[in-house]
Amino acid sequence: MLALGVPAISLLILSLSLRWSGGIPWAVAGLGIEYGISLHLRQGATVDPWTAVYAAALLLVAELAYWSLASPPRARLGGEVVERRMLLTIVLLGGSMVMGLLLVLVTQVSVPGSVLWTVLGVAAAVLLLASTAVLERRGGHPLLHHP
Amino acid sequence: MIPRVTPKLPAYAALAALGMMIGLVLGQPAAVILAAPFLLALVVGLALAQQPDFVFSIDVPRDRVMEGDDIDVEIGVTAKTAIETLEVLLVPPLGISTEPEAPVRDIRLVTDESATLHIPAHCLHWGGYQLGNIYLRAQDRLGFFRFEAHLDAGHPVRVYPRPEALRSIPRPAETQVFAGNERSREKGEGIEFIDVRGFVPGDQVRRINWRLSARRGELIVNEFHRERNADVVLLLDTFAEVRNGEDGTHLMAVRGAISLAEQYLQERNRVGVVGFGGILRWLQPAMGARQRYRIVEALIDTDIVLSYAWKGVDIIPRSTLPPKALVIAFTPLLDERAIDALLDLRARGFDLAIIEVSPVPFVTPDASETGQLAFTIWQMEREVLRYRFQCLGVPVALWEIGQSFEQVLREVQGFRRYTRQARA
Repeated sequence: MLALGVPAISLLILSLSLRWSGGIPWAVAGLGIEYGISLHLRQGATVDPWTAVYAAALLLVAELAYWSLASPPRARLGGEVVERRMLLTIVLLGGSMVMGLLLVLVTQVSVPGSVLWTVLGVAAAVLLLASTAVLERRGGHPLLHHP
Repeated sequence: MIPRVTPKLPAYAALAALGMMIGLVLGQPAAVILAAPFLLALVVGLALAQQPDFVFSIDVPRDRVMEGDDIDVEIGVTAKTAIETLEVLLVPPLGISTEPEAPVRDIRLVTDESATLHIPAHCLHWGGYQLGNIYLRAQDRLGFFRFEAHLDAGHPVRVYPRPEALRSIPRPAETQVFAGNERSREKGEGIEFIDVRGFVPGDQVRRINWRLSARRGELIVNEFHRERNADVVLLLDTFAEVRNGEDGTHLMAVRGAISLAEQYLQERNRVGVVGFGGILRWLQPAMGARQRYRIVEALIDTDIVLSYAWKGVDIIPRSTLPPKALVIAFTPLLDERAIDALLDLRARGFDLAIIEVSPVPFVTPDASETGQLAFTIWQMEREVLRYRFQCLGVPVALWEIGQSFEQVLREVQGFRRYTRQARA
């Protein structure tokens, strides 16, 4: 596990010190994969309730990392801005944990597997990937009016 | 404002998609749970994202200042929609500097709230500036979108040069008909003694030199120099200049011209300005406080404009160069057209003095032997040119950067005194 965890944390530290945002998702993905593998080795397909907490922690790491890179180093951030951003992050983390716990509960419910569910899941994932690619290529917010 | 996606949005979407895919392909619900917070953040971020709308204003309470003064730039923002964070970056023009530690200010505004940012700036050099090159960057609440705008409000700021205090200035050879502080060669009403003569009816009794009259046994009256004003034209060669960073020949010339204009105007002379170069600018000679401001404004607006058109003194309006005027030219002696015009002025009988704003300190000669030789030849050619003017009775005073302007003027005065004796 160290083979995945240590490079991921090193990449995160490197990204923050070089102010390079491109390394953050790779570091977070590395940490997530590392947790997923360790969980799989320990418990197989059973979901650990602490996964929701770990997921929220991953989000916190990503949020703090992007936040630290968002403002210029010499910017004077007002206290109110920091407070508001922290509050929003806490609310988001709380929501993430609640959603994670709900998902953990859903996994406890036994639903008979079918091809329809699998196709639906794959379609949702593909749609998400496609929208990501489109967003990145357009470089603009599709929902916002461009003056 | 132009909306842009930050790297965070595709990163979160990719992390969410990766988790979902792994969960689906490998049948691992844990991967979906790990990805779910990123998906939630995306949904919340997209729902909260809003194009910021605001009214912007820039004001500089002191927009006419002296060189070296500090000014306060006030940037007012009134939010029409809530703005989470708005970064404001003022890019000052060359010649004005802002505080280097914090050029970026960050504010947060709710709807209909106003905020005023005070950005201190320091005026390094004289000139007319347009202050208002401002970059604005706002972010949405979760930092998925960045809204950028560039505003060019163009608030004018005039920075006047500080005139150097001069104790003595070149005296004009000829004076005009109006009363002033200049000593005229003609006899008349004044306070400076010139000669004595015999009394004639109509002479004022207070003019009688009683001591001399007693000695000679006849009435003798004192005669005085008339006190008149003079016309002075400051001619700036704006064909070419040599610059090195923030200093240059034109900057020096304008500073010197303003110092001279200030002093001549104080002594009740009429002063005019001619910017002789790519664009001809002129200001007819006049006197008084109003003329002082006109001159400063005119000099600040003079600029080096590249032109290949041949121009002579004929294009200068006649009223700008009145007869018997003292013409003081500020030139780096680089452009043939300016040199020809000065020679022409002298040939037309104008009382001419040249202050050569030396371009030599601003030039770095090539290190090669040929470069050094070329530099030496160039300097020798300049010497020859200087000598040519001096042979025509035109003083050429060399003004190098860092040298006192007073000292340069003394050189001019010394030369003029010597040439007058030689003529006599």
